[in-house]
Amino acid sequence: MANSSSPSGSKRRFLLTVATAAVGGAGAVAVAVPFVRSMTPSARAKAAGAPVEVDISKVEPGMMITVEWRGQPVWIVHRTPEMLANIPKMNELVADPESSQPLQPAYVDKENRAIKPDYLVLVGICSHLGCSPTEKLKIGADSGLGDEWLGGFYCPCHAEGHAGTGEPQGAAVHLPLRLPHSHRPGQVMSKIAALTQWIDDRFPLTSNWKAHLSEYYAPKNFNFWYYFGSLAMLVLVIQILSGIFLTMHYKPDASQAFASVEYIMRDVPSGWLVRYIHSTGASMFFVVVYLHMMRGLLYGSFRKPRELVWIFGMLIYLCLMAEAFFGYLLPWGQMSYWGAQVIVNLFSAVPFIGEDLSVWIRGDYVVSDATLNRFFAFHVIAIPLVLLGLVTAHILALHEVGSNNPDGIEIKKKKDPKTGIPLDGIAFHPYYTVKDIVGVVVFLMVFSIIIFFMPEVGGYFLEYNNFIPADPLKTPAHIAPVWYFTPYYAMLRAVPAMLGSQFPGVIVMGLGVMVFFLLPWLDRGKVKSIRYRGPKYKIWLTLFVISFVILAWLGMNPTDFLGKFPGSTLEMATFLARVFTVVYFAFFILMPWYTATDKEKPEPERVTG
Amino acid sequence: MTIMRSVRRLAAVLVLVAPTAAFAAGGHVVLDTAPIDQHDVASLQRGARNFVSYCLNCHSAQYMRYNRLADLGLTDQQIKDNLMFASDKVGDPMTIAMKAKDANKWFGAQPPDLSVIARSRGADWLYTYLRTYYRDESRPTGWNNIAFPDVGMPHVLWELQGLQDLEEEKHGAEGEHGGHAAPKLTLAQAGAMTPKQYDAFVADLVNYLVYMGEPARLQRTQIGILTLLFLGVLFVFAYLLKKEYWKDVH
Repeated sequence: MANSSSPSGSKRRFLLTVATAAVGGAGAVAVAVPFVRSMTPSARAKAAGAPVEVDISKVEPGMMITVEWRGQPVWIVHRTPEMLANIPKMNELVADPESSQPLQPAYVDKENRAIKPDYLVLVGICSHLGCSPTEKLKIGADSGLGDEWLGGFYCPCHAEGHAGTGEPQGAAVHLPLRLPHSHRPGQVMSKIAALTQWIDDRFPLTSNWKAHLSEYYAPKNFNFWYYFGSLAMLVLVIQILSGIFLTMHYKPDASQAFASVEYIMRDVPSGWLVRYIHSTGASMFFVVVYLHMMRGLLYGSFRKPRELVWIFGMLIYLCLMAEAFFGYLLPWGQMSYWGAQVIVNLFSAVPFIGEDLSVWIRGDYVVSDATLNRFFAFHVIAIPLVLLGLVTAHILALHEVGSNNPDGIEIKKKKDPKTGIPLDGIAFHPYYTVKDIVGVVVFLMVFSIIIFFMPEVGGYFLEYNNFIPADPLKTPAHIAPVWYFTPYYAMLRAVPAMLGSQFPGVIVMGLGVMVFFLLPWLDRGKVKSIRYRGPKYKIWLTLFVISFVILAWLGMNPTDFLGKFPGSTLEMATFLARVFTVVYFAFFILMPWYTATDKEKPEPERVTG
Repeated sequence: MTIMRSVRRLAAVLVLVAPTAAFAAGGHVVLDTAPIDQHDVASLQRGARNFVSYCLNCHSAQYMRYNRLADLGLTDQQIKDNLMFASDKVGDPMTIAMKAKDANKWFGAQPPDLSVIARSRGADWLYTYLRTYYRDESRPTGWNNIAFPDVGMPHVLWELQGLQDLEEEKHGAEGEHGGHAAPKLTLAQAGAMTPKQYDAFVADLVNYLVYMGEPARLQRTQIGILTLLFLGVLFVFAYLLKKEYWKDVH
C-alpha cells in the first residue's frame, strides 16, 4: 500500500471527512437530547409541583401558616396593619430596599413584596445557604430580640434577621428570601482548550495516538467478521452511558424497584428511550460478543501468540455474564426474581458448604431486598470497573502482538525493509476508523429498529413475564433465562441428578463456559484460518455451532415441550440436550486429535483479498 | 465416516421432532386476534372511558397518570370532567381507594394492577379473556373462563354481554378441527349489548390497555422513523468516506 493521493483526491477527502463529521456530530447532539431531557423534572415531580390551593380564611391577622410546595416550606403571613406600617421603616435596615436583586416574579408590587399587601407569601428557605429561618413576627420586645425588632424572620445560624418582607437586615451575608417563583435560570458553561504540545510535554498523548491508532498497522484484509470488536466497544460505551442515566431514577429497593422502572418508562422525560437503549444493549452485547468469538474460532485468533488476548477476552465474557445476570434482577419482575432464585440456588448444590454459600450470596434465605441491593452494587460499579480494566488489557495485549486476519498468517513476517512497516499492514487510523464507522452506522440502524419498533423482540430481549412484579409466593409456570444464557441452562438441565444432587449439572454448565479458556492449547493444527484447515475442523466447528444454537433453543423452552419418547419416561428435549451437550464438549475434548491429523492446505506467503 | 453417520442421525432426530413440536403447540387455548388500532384515537378515548367506569374501581393503574391521557387528545378539563371519579388532581396516578387488606378479605386476592397488564398478557389474550366468561355453579363466584380457567374475578361486564353457557363437548361437532372441537359458548341470556357491540366495547378497552401498557409507543415509532432516515444519510457519507480512503489500499 502507499499513501499517494492526488491533490484533488485530498480535497474530496477533506470535504467528505467534514461532511461525515458534521452529520455524525449532529447525530451525537441529537442522541444527547434524550439523556439531558431525562434529567429534567419528571411527570411525578411536575405533578407534585402543581399549584397548591390553600384555605387562608382561617389565618388571623398576625398569624403565619406553613404549607409544602415542591418539597419546600412556603410561609403565608396574614399581615396586620401595624406590620404593613413598619415596612417603610425596614427599608433603612435591609441590604436591598429597592428589590434590585429580583428574587420575585414581576407581578408582585415591590414595596410590599406581595400581590395583595395583606398576605405575604415566601419560600421559607434563605437563598444564601438554604436554611430555613425562624419566624419572629412579633414586634418589639415580645419577639425576644429586643425593642428595636420590627418583626420578621431570624436566622439562628448567623444570628441575623430578615425583615418582615423577607429582605435580609444589615450585613450582606444574607440574601433575600425568595418569593415563590416557578422558574430559575441555570447556566452550564464549559470550555475546552487543548494544546497538543503542552499536553505532550506532560502526558504521552501523541505517542499513544500513534501506537494504538495512526501507526498501529493492521492487516489490510479484514472482512465482515472484523467489525464486531469495535462494535463491542461501542456497545460497552452505550451501556455505561445509558446505565448512568438509568441509575439517576432507578431505586434498588424491593418495594420500589418495579415501580421505579415504570416511572422511568412513563414519567421521566425520554426515560423509555434510555431504558430501551439499555435493555436492547444488553442483548446486543451478547450478539456482538458471540460473533466476535466466532471470528476467533474461524480464523484461529486464539492461537499463539494471541493466547493472552483470548484469555482476557474470555474473562471479559465471564464479566459480561455476571453483569447481565446481576442487571437482570434489577427490574424486579417475575422473571428477574425467579431467574435469580434458580441461579443462586445452583450454588446450594455445592457439596457441604452449598446451603451456607447460597444464603451468603443472597444475604437472606430467599432472593430479597438485600439481594437486590448487593446485585445493584455489583451491576453498577464492581463488575463495570473490572470490565473496563479487562478491555484495556485485551486491547493492549492485541496491540502488542498485532491483529490476526482471515488468512491466519503473521503480517509482521514480511516488512518493508526501509520503513519496517508490514507490507500487508495499513494504519488503523484512518483506514479502519473510517471502515468501522460504516460498521457502526449499520449496527446503529439494526439497534434503532429494535429500540423503536420491537423493543421486546417477541419476548426474547424483554420477557413478557417480567412485566409482572416479583412475587416470592408465586413461581411462573416456566422459568427461562434470557436467550444468551439458554445454551448453558439447557446443559444444566440435561445432566441428571446424581446421588440426589444437582451439582454435576452445575459443574457441566460451568465447564461449558470455562472450556473456552483451553482453546489455545487444544488446537494442534499447523494453520490458523478456516480457509486452510482440513475437513475435520470444518465439520467439528459446524457441529459445534449447531449444538450451541440447538442448546439455546432447548434452554428457552420447558423440558417437556417436545413430549416424550413413545413408551418411555425420557423427555425428547432432555435427550436432545444431552446429545448436543456431548457434541459441544466433543468439539473441545477431541480437538487435539482431529486438528493434528487434519488434511490442511498450505498457507499463502502474503494475505489474500 | 463416523461424522457423516452422526450428521445423518442428527437429521433423523430433527425430522422425528418436528411433528411433535407442532402437536405440542396445538394444546393451548386458541386466542382471537384483538381488532385494535393504536392510531384510532376515538377508540382509545372510548377505551379509557370503559376502563375508568368498569375496571378502575377494583383494579388500580398506579403507574398511569390521568393527565397522560392528553396523549389521546384530551384536555385536562375534559379528563377532570369525564374520567376522574377517585381523585381531583389531573397529575395523580390512577390509584384506587380499596385497601389491599380489604381486597384480600373480599376477593381472596388483591386484584392486580393493570398498568402493564397488556405487556405481560398480550392484547389477544385480554380480548379473548374478556369475552369468554361463562356461568359455572361449581365456582365460588358462579363464573368461569375459557382463557383463564378458574379465574378469581367474577364477570363484571355480564350486564353488557349477557350470560354465556359452556356447551357440553359433543363428539363430531361441526368445528373445523374435526372431532376435537374447541370449547363453545352460547349466549343464554342477552345483555344490554349485542354480541357485535360487546366485541367492539372490549376491543376499545383492550386498545386502551395496550396504550396504557406503554404510553410512549406512538412517540417511539415516530422518533424511530426519523432516526433511521438520519442514519441512512449518515451511512451515505460514511460509506463515501471509507471508499475515498480505501483507494490507497492495494
